[in-house]
Amino acid sequence: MTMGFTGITGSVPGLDRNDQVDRGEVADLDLVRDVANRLVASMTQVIEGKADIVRTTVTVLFAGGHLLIEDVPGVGKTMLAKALARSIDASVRRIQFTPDLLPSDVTGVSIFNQDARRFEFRPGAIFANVVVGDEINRASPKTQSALLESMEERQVTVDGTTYELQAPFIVMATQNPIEMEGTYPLPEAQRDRFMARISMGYPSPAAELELLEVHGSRSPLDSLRPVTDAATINSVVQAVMRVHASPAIRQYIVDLVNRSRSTSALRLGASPRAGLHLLRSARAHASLEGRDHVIPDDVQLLAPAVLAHRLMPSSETQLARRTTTEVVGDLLRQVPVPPQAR
Amino acid sequence: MSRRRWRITLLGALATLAAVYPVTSLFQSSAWLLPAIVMVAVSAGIGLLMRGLTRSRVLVVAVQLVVTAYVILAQFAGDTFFLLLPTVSTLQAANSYGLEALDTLGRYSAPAPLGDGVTFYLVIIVTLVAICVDAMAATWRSPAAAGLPLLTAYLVTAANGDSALAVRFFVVPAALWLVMLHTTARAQFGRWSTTSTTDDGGRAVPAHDGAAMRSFSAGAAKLGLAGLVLALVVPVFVPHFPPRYLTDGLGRASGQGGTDGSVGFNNTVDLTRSLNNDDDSPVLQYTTTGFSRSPLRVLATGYYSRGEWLAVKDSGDGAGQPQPLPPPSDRNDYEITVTDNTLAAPNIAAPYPVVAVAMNGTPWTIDPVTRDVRVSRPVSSYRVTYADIAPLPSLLRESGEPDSPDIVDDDLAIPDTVRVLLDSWSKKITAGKNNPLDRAIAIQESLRSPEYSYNLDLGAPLRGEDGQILDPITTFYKTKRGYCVQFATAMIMLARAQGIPARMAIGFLPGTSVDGKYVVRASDAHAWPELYFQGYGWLRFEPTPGARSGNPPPYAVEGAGDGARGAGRAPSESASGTARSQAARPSATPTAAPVVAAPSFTDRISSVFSLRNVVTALTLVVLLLALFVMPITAALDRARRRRQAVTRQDLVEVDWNDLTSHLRDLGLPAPPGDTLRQARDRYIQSGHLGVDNAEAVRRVTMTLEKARYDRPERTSVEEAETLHRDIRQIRREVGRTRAGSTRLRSFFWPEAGVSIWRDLPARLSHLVDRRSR
Repeated sequence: MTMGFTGITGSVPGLDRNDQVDRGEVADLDLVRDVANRLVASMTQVIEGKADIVRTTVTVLFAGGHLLIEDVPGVGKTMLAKALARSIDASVRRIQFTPDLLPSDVTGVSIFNQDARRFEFRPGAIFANVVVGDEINRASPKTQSALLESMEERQVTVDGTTYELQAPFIVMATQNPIEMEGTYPLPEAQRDRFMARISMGYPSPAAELELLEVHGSRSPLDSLRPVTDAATINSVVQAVMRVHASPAIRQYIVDLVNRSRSTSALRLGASPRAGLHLLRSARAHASLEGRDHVIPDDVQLLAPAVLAHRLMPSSETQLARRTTTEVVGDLLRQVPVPPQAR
Repeated sequence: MSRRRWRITLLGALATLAAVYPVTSLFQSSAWLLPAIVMVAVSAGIGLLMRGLTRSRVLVVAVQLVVTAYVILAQFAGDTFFLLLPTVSTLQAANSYGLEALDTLGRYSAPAPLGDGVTFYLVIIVTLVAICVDAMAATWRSPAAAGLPLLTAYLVTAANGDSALAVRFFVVPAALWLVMLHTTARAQFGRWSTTSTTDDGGRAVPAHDGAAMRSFSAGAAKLGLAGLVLALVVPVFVPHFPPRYLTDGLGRASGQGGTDGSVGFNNTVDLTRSLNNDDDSPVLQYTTTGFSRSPLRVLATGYYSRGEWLAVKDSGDGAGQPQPLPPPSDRNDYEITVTDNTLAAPNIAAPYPVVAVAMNGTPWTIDPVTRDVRVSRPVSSYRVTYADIAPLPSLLRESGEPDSPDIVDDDLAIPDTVRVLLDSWSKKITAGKNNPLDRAIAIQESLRSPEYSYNLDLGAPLRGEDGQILDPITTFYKTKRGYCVQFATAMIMLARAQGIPARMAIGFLPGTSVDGKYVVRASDAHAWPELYFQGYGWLRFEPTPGARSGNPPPYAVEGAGDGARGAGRAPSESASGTARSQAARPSATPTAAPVVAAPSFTDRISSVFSLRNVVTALTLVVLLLALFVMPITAALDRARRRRQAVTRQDLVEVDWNDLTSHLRDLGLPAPPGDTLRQARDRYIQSGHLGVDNAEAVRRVTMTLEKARYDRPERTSVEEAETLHRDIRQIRREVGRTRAGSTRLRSFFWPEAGVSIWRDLPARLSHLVDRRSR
């Protein structure tokens, strides 16, 4: 089964080769926990009563993935993205996606410099460590794909010249539920690029009350100071890669992904990339817990966030008004946790 | 209720046994009961086992049939097996059993003797009933239908018994059947969904399943109770009809006129005919101090004339006193107390020979020759002391020429018409016998042989060459069938032809035991011959084949008198400490004992290891193994996986697997999707584990998690050891908190063992597929 993964690694473009470097090395867990604690503490100042959301956000950041935040307007999607961005001492760009936004606005454009008499590349909004894409499904598919390509490749090609993006590079995109008006839903191929999708959900009454008190006067974002920097995040991501994932865990992930492809509740199962994302996020989560090895609980905890947005429900599931998140829950109940005795 | 339905299975088995139990009254011996119980248990057990293993109902019944058939064949015809498998000769054996059973059923009426053949088929029938009941009640879940085989089994007895069956014989199976109905109904209600669709609220759909169940089972119970009461009460008010036998009883044998080529008995008409209308009414009741029950004689006569036996009013010269009996040292005296006597005067019934009579003031006389006791008016109760004279055959053989006042001329008279026939007939039978006893026994055995058949229907009267109806003796010689009167007459005439004085005795069979008393009914009327032996008087013989007429007296058994039998009899009789049995011992034991002792020991050993015993023992072993097959399978499988374990982690996994499967058996399931931590929380929470055990579970799961998911080199030997110890502790402690029945089931029906058997067909077919590819 290990072979399955190495095979896939080669075939999927843009994957981090560091996925394979965990043998024999011990992750620097103290650094990971330290950074995680500081980030969580910082973000919690702004996002109240959503500890698990904050934690998942940090997990995705440490796993080197991108995050899709989906919910109705006004529940703090952008606030979450901004809080993370402000907490890291790194370049932050924010793109407000609108129907008339052009691909070159995202990637950058070559402009003819009269003085130097040559074309100069002016980087777009994507050239930053943290990119906050607001209301990504309001942009036209063409613009969406410009962003999503660079997300996956971690590079931008304009006029035949390829420009590398800096690490760390995390895109946090927010989107309204796809049923809402004036939206261009992301195709499944593009949704697949996001490591995880989370929903904010409405705050609890207590949190909402406090929100009215505190936020009424000034924006809490103003008081946020960076608690870490880009270089540290880079080394944290490297450390997470070294978290041990035993054969049993990898088998478990393969079983889960395979089951999602064979179940009748789904029209489209999880991609090989989904399995990779699941493993990486599980590693990050294990290291957040102070463990240098992944356990099935990590996988189970992250599977709904990592898998649900990539799956397409079958018509029966839709008729039954069941979400793919619920289907993932079923999968987790059905698939035995290896090693299972024969 | 689980798929195995052990409760309903148990009820079904019990109901089957209760329904067939009355069959014991149809046979003399209850030896069939034990194998029948074993077979009912086997079929129920296999039903349980198979229902646990497969969903195919037909397969369940098929396996039940095959296995029970095998066990029965092994039990009864195991010596014909080759390599533990039935052979053609097994079928032949079964066939001969069948012939034997048919013969018994055709010849005897209840209670019939219990031969191997009858036992064989009785056990088969009981097993079939058991399988039917089990299939209907448990496999198909319709115990209502199971009432049919139960009723059939019950009716077999009710229709063939010689008396009305006791009420409990009906009440017990009926009650068990009702409980089965109730149990299944409750289980089915339990399965009903609470979200059943209701089209409108006005319909009588019960609001709550519990209420519905209660009302249903209450209704069913009322119905059942009403049915039961009806079944018991109605017969009280409905006129009774005498029971009809599959094979007619002995009771209607006597009392027919001497026409149509049959033997009649004229003077007893008042005795039998007056009672003939209601065959089953009791004639008298009695208790006796004797061990063996003798027939009760009413009268005896030696006068036979033109096909009829006629009682002589006052035989002899009427001088009054009978000849003295043998001295008390040569006989055992017993006392019989008769109550509720309805026999018409002047006769009373008492075992022969009468020693003393206590009549409560009613005058009585005793016939000096026949010793018939006569009374001047009917007596309802009386006491009679009678002697049991059972002389040793060896002494009988040496008895001298008959010469006694007890013998009258009639006792040796032979009708002229049949003298020639009787001479040749008796010579043929008694060829080679050189003393009166052996000749008498030969005659008796000849008449009891299968050549002659007991039949109330004598058939159309035979006519001779001249067109005249033949005399009864010639007719019997040719047709070889009849009832007690014909058999007795034939024996008397044959004995007379051999020079042995013989006469006819009329009376009753010993009757049936009811509540410690013996009840003699009109249907017990019987006729038998008495033969005279010098020095011992008139001795009873029993030429009539049939269970109710009983075995011949000990002295009249073929081969009687060889040392072993004499010695064998002595201990059984010695309880009364009579002089006769003491006298018998020296004659039998001194020479025989030393010689016989040694081989008898080896004989006993070899008889213990006879094939049938070995087969029985093997069957028992197989049954025991079957009982323990699941735990044994689980243990073997665990040992196998332990052997196959290569690394320390494999071993730990085997232990953990063992624990989870044991906890599942104890009612603590962990879904396959559970991670170790989820399983841990589940066990601690729903297992109600104490602090120590919860800690042990935490240690186990943490160690196991590390072994499974951390780098392999990090799990130490000590941790693996602790894990093993903890797992054992958890196993023990969790078991203690569970109910005894749960623990019992987890022992006898462990999922680890059951799943192996359940998956066996799939694995086998997989194996075959791989081979054939």
